[in-house]
Amino acid sequence: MNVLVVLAHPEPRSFNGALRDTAVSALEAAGHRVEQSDLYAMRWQPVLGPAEFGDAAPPAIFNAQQAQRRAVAAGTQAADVQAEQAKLQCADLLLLIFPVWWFGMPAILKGWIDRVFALDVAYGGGRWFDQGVYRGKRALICTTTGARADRFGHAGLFGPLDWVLHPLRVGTLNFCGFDTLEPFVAWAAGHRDEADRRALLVRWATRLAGIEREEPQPFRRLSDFPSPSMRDHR
Amino acid sequence: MKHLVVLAHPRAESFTRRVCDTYIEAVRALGHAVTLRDLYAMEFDPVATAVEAHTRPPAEPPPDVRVEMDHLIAADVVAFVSPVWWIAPPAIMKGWLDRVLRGGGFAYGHGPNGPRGALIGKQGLVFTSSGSTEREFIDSRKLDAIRVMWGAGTVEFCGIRLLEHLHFGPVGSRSTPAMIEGYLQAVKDNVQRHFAAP
Repeated sequence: MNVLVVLAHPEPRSFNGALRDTAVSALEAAGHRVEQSDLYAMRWQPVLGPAEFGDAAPPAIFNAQQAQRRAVAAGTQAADVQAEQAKLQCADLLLLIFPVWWFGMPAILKGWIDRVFALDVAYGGGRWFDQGVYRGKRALICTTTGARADRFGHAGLFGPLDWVLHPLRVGTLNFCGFDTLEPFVAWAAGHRDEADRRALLVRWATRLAGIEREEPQPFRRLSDFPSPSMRDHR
Repeated sequence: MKHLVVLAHPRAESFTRRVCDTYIEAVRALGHAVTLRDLYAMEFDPVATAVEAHTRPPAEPPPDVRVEMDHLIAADVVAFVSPVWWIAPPAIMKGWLDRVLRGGGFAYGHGPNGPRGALIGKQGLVFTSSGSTEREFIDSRKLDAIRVMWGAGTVEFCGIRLLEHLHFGPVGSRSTPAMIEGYLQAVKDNVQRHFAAP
């Protein structure tokens, strides 16, 4: 398998960095080819805006999707965006490693999605969910939380972690056709002792060794939704 | 009252900007003061560095974050105005939250029962918009997801009382001028409801 590992953490010696290092070794040991996008190390520019499109006569109102559509049609997308899209195209498995910050991804990863998952490249023209562009590819979210596991769940302070991951898992990855695997969550990673962290990394490596055989999570199909409002998208 | 308005849209003629301008005009008409942080115009850097991600007060943040923290401290009300991209804020807005809402007792701290908001006494409003119809946005649970993220996940987490989260849609190719006027009227109505003297 070709695996694209995307890391969004400012400190390579962090637990997120260790999850990345463990993933790369475990995947390579299992015979997979690993490509990486270490967003901080690459100094990824996360802000989607008119600047990257360099239109000679930009419209007065910037519409991100229309700007992307024109750039894709003209073949003038930014070079850094095209490079990431090419990596994504080659990948059978997309592995996203990041800490949960404010019920979401760090800005640098949010901006990787904003810019790389462009209209007419990652979706568009009726290609979404089971008709999605990336059908056949799989995606795995690996994340760390500041809070303990018991803070999540329906009775917990924050509610279920899936509330946090839903926009990425369903709204972004499934939307573009990816099958998702059960997320790997390292709860309260910052508050664990060394032995605990080592045990987590062993569990992570073991899971990745057999990742190819895992069954994906249930996938929403357009035909499952009788409401026309759910099927009719652009 | 002092309002801090945090805006994330790159163009002056956008709907997002019109929401922002309408809000500012309406609160100024009530005699309130407004500070606008136009993140695209400021070229705000949304990427938290390793040092700032791993230090807490009293360690000083980078100067650009300090400026935003001071604006937040001075404000009685903070209003966030941004479109919805991938069921979440644009990266530049996400980065303002990542960098400015620092722990260690600034935006939140830790009490005996877990995390505790530290911006108690402030009020917040959130304005979002998307191209999806209202029906599609509700049916697909996108509205729930962004309400949770902005509310319990961020604004209320910091102890700020969330007065209102107004989501507008559809905006763009599926909206009519009358719909847009209706959305902007809702901004004015909410300013009156929350801030005008009875």
